[in-house]
Formats: sequence, C-alpha cells, structure tokens
Amino acid sequence: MSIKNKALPGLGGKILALLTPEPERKYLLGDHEEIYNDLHKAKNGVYAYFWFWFQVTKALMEFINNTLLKDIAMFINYLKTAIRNFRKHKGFSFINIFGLAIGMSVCLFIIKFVLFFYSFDDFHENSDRIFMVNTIRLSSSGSELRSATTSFPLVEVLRNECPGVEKAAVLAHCANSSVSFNNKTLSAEFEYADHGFFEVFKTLSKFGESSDFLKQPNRIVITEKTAEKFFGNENPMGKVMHCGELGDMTIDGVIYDIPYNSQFHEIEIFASLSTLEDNWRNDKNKPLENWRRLVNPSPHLYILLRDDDSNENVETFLSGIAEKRMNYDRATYSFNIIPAGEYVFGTDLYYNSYGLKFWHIMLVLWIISALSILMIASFNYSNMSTAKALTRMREIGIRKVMGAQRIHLLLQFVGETILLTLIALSLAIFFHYIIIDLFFRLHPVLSTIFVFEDTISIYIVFLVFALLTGIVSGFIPALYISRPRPIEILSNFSKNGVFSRSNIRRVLITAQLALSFFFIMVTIASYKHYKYADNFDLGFNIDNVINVKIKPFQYRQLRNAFSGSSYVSGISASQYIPGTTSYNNHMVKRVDSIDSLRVSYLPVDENFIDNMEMKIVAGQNYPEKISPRDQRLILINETAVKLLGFNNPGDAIGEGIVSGRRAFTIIGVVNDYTTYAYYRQMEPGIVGYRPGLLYYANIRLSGNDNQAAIEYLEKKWSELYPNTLFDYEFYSDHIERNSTITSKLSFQIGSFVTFLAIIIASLGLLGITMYNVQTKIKEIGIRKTLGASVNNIISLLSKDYLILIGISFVLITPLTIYLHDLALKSLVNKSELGIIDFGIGILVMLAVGGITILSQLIKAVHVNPADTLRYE
Amino acid sequence: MYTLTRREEQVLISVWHLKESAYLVALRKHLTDITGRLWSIGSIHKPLLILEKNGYLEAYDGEATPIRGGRSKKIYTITKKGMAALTQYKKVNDSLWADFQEVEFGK
Repeated sequence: MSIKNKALPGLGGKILALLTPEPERKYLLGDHEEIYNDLHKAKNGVYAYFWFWFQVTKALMEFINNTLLKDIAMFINYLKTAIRNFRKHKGFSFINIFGLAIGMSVCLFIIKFVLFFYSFDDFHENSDRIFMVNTIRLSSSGSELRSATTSFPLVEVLRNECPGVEKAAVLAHCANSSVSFNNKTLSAEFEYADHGFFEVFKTLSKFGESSDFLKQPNRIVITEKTAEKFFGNENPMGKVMHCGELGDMTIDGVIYDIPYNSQFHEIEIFASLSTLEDNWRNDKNKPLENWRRLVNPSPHLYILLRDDDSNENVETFLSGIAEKRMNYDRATYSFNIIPAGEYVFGTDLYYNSYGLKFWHIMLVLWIISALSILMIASFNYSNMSTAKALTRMREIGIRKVMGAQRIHLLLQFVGETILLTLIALSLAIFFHYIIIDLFFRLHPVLSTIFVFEDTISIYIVFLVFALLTGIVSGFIPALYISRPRPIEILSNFSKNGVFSRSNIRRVLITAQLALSFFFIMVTIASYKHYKYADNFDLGFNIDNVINVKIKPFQYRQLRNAFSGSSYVSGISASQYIPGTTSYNNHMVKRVDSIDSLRVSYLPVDENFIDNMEMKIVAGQNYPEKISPRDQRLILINETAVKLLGFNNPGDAIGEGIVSGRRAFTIIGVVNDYTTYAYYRQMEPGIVGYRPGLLYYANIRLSGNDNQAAIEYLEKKWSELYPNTLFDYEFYSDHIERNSTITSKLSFQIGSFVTFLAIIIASLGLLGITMYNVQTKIKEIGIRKTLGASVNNIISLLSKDYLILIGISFVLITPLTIYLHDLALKSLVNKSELGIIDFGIGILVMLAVGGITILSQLIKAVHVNPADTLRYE
Repeated sequence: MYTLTRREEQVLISVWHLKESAYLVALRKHLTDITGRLWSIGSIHKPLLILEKNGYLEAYDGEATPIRGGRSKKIYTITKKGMAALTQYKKVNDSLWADFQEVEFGK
C-alpha cells in the first residue's frame, strides 16, 4: 500500500477547512483525504474528484442554511407579521404614514437647505486653506466696527512678509457698470480683482490660462454666461469690450460660471485691479498707502495658507501689524481670519461683504421647526401604537412562549416602525420636491440664489435620516409593548376618560398640542412682524418712486428732460439709496470738540429733501438757486443733534462741523430717517449737497399709470443716451428686496410650517379619538341607557382634551414670550405680542381640535345602545 | 435520560464493535457494509459529536498516516455511560424481539 498519497484538491480543501470549526478540522480533513484516496484507488480519479466536491458543496449548503437562511426565514416572518398588521388597521397605518411623510419631507428639505450653506466655497482647490481677512475697529468710545475690507497696504505686506501665507488675492468693489460690444449693451456685475485672485481661487478657466489673468491694467475676465450673451459660442479672448466709465478693456479669458454655493456667484466680470491702482496713485489722499482707510478702495483680502497649521502664525503676524501700523489713540484695530466658506454665516454687522448672508440662528430655527413637525408625527405614531398594544397581545404571547426574549420583541417592533418609516420616506421624497417648488415660488429672486442638487450622498443621508426617525419613533412604543408584564396593558383599558390613565399618551398628546400651539403663536408673531416692517415709517416717502442709476453729469440733463412730463411729479438725486445701506460713514466732530462721532453721510442734490417729503425740523433747506459753494452747507438729523451734544435742534443751526480736513456749516435739521434697516436704531446722519456724487436719480411718478410712465421715461432716456441701459428699480421693491423680505418670507414659511403641523396634529388627534371611541362604545351605550344626555357624553369625552389644551397653554405662553424677545433682541424697532394674540392662538387650537374630535364624538353619541349592548 | 436516535444507537454499537479502529472512516465502511445503505460523512460525524458531548464516547488521537496527508485520526471509545446505554438497549431489544420467528404469509 505504498501508493503515493493524493492530496485533496487545494481550493476545496481550503473551503472545507474554513467551514469546519476547530478542533474537528484536522480530523475531518484527514478523513476526507483518506476516503478520497480510497476512492481514487477503488474507482478512479474523476469519481473521487466529484465525490470530494460534492462533500464540499454539502458543507457549504449546511453553512448557509445555518447562518443565513434561518435568519432570512425569520426576517421574512417578521416582515409578514408587519405587513399583516398594517393591513389589519389600514386607517391607522395610513394616518401614520401620511403624517410621517409630511414631517420627513420638511426635514428632507431642511437637510438640503442646510447642506447648501455648509457647502459654500468648498469646491475650490485647497478650499480648506483659503481664508478671508476681516478688520475690526474699536473706537475709544467703545463702538465696534467690523468690516470685510482691510487696508490696502496689508495686501503686499501679507504676500511678501508673512511666512504662513502662500498666496494673497484681492477683490475690490467696483460700481456696477454697463458693458457693451458691437452695439449690444447690457448691465453687468463688475468687481476688481488682482492677478492673485485666480491663483488663490483656481477656477477652471474655459478659455485662457488662469495664471496669466489680470496681470496688466485694462483687462477683464468674464464668465461663461456673459461670454455667451455677447459672443455666442466663439472664443472671445483678446476682444475689446467697452465698459462704461472704465473705458475699453481686453478680454484675458473666460471662466466657467461660478456655482450658486459661492460668495462670488453673482459676479459676472472681473476687471484687473491695476486699472484702478493708477487712478488711486494719483489721488492726493494716498489711499493706497493709508493703513486706516477701509473703504474707497475697499479691498477684500483672501489668503491661501501655506499649510494647515498656519492660522495662528498668520493671526499673530496680523496682530503685530495692527499694533505697529494702525493703532492710535482714537481707535484700536485688529484683524481676524475666517475660512472663506464660513462667510455666508456672517451677520449684518460686517460692512461691505460679498454674497449671500444667512444667520446661524436662522438655520438653527429652521432645523428646530422641521424637527418639531417630525416630532408631532412621531408622537402620533407612538400614541397610536401604545393604544393598540392590546390587539397584539396574542401574537406577543405566542412569541414569548416560543422563546422570544425582550430584545427580540424590541427589535421586531422597532423594525416594524422602520419599515413604516421607509414607506413614508418614499412618499416624503415626493412631497419634498413639492416643498422645494413652493419655496422657490415665495420670491423670484430665490431661484437665482439657491440651487438644491440631488446627489447620491444626499440620498444616503435621507436614508439614514429615515432609519433614525424610525428608531426614535418606534423605540418608546416598543418598550411599552414588549414589557415583561403585559398584564399591565390590560389594566389600562378599563378606566374612564378619553385618554384613560395612560400617562405616556397624555404626555405625548400634550406635547403635540404644545408644539402646535407654539407654531400658531410663531405664525401670529411673524405676521405682526411682517406687517410692522412693511408699514414702517422710513422717514421719507417712497410711494411711486423709482431710482435710476445715473452718472453725476447726467443729472442736470435728465432733470430738464423729465421735469416737464405729467408722469413725473418730482425728481431728486442721491449717491445711494437710503433705507437699506449704511454705505458712507464718516467721522465728524464739532469744531470745538475732541470727540468725533461716526455718522452716515448722504450726498444728495438740493431737491432731495422736498422730493422725498422729509420734514425740516429746524433751520432751512438748501436754496433753490444752488451753487457749488453750497457744498459746505449740510443738514443733520435729529439723532445727530443729540449725539453731537446740542440741547435742541435750534441750537445746531449755524454751528460748524469738521470731517477730516473739511469744514461744514449746519443750515438745517431734518427728521430722523432709516439708513440701514428699519430694525436698527436711528443713526445719526448728515445730508449734504454734492453734485459730483449723484449716482441715483429719484423720480417720483405721479401714480396715474406707472407702466406708461416708465415706458415714456425709457424712451426719453434712450434718446438722450443711446446704448446705455435705463437701469431703474422701484424704491419699494428695493426696500423689500433688502429689508422686509426676511420678515415676509419668515411669515410665509412660518404659516406653511404651522399649517403642516396642524394637519399632522389633527391627524393624530383623529386617530386617537377614533380608537378611544371604538373602545368606549360599550361604555357610551351603557351611559345612554342609564339616561345620559348627548351633552353629558360630549362633555365627558372632551373634558380631558380641554385640560390638556390648558396645560399646553400654560407651558407654551411663557416660552413663546421668552423666545420672541430673544429672537428680536437685536432689533430696536419691532412689534410686540399681546394678550389678544395669545387669545387668537387658543381659539385656533380649540377650533381645529374641536372639529377633529367633534366628528368622532358625534358618531359616538349617536350610538344605539341596543346595538352595542346586544351581547351583554 | 437522553434518548438516542436510531442512527446514534447504530453508531454507538459500531464503535464498540470496532474497538481500536473506531474512527470515522472505518465506522462508515462498517455501517455501510452491514446496513447496505451508503452512510454520508455527516451522518456519522454528527452522531459521534453528540454522543461525545453527552458522555457516551471518549476520543483520543490516533496514528497519522500518509494517506491522510499526515493528519491523525480521532479514535472513539465507549465510556461507562455508553456501555450502560448499550446494555440497556440490548436488554430492551431482546425482550421486545424475544421469540421472534419469521411467519409465512399465506397465498
């Protein structure tokens, strides 16, 4: 028997080895090998080979059967049970799925919304190393000014002397200009950028090398969209465009459109900074070398850090610079750096910053609202599941007998909830598209700002979110249903009252009512706020006024051309549009005083005060026959009077004011007017005659036919200035777009959210009441037999509900008041919540809840005792 | 007392029968020959494990032969408990089968 040993086929041997556990492994392998050899000898090699592989296959099947299939079989059993349960109680299942779908759809939308903000400017290469430099100026009087711009000399210093900075980029504001090519003129958003800009923000260039962009003056880089507007599909490199006041500029290159989630999204043309540097170099104020000057030029400084740890080094370097170059007795300056993408969360305290702004607190509020709605739906589910626990007792009992532990039951019920949630998810995805659509309908400008993309990762997030919702929703009822002593569930069902003595359910329902009430109050509050903002007195009259962008030299011509028309009842001009921006700030002081005051400076023409119907509180307006000499005459507003130390407006007349090296005389006092926004405290302001700074014409239309008026004006304009855009906007639209839009949107969104919350809460209430009435049919029958009237029964059934509403009122009212104050804390001018508002809230609650319950109560009350007690 | 299944019983008695060569391959051949039915590896291996687990059998390492690729055999022996079980089964069987004769069935 010295035949050479045939070893087992390697692969099969390995599989077998894996499938058999120690310590049996080697014995079994030996057995197999022995039989294999015997067969090889007795029959033949092929036979042995197939026998062996047959053994391996059997082992594999056994393994799969033992591990996988038993679990799958169990899983399918649970699945069948779950589906059976859903179908047995179709009504409740539907209510739950629908409610959860609504709740989740809002959350899905919020997820996309939040992720949009957190993705700002993250698509740039090295985005984690790109930062923005901000300047903070603390004056000796304690007022703090935060600016997104920095001093011009800082750019080169950071670029050349700071080791932590690899590259620096500057973006500076440029007056929006019209741009034309080949007789086609359009308006475009211009910004100045230095050549470092495209090195820090390596956008993909479509035509041209980004490292060559904007090295010389009079060059521009345009976006794809702009290129298409003027040149179609051609390559416009090297072509020359006429850019209004800036003159002729050559196209250095074209970049792809900047995505929505970037602070630079709205910029269409980048012009080389060196174009303007020449002008500034000749300015005798030497703005390019002035460390303390943050505006005109207004450089936004972006830096690319050398490596991840450079933050602190750069900040130390910057504080050194501030110490050395900028600090003096009147004010201390400091710098700080922020990651470029976080800019979107800046507050309106940052002057002169780019792009979309959104407050962190708003995001938090939106997230909380979405989660609250979802919570209402979750509570519905928990409520109804615990209520129906009794119907599942038989199944649970059998499972326990068959050996199920509590963990198995828990997993089963949470799994059922997850299944329900996943079904709701598919509906929710459908709903959330509707919500996105509604969101964009709120205001046309929204679709130019936001875009919500569908990516695989977003859908994975949705799935995880749904799973979490299922787990959280199902956890409590699972605990309740799987409790070790199920007999306790029985004892809960023989008590009086609509909600029996189940405390869990009472708590849940109260929570739902409280949340609904809270939402109603939020809606009422935001409505009041919106109305307040809308009707706020700005200090001047903006009805039927349009603002037209002009060049200062055009004003006189325009005035002559338009004044005669019957469409126009008044014309004036200003440098900017007051009411939405605090654009021009200067430090001024009285001649004989040391303290200076920061005031808002509004350059206007002599007609402005009359045209905008402002009131002269003291002194007089500009004379009709005005001359350039009168630029030294100014009017100040009432707040300025107080802050400059005058006792009353009359005292200010004739006094002198100094700003920098210029001296002015006060000839009059006007009423306070809104500079930045209605909610800010009135700022001290100066109105001054400056014919050279009139960039906006304020045309008050007579109001008869605004449409025709505008057409007329447009025609006149193109006669005067062919190839220039008649760029106008209604003053009220401008205000709304910048100020009141947040309150308007808040109200619309708040009411929508409340509407959803109420729907879900009502559904829940309906479900619970339906169930309770079902269980109490017998009791009602007995009571009726014993002589209870309809009223008795209704009051019996609704008494509990009223108590719970009362509790939620007591809980929510102080919370609402507190949050209202907190949210509007930074606003000086705002609306208040009164008793009437809370009263309205309660009424709505009672009405909605009442209707819901009443439907069931009526059914209950018409129960015929003969039917229900038939079997007693 | 744990009730043996028929196959476990057959495996048990075969282990006793084969004495020192009572390992899986030999048991399989023995049982296949006697019962005339092809016993699979599993149908012997599983009863062996159960019997060992319940204390009817003990095992020790046997010789390693080249035909097994150098791996050793697992030789099983009867324990006292196993012997008791066998004796009992024999007694019960004998009593049940006492005076068994083949009966011819008429036409």
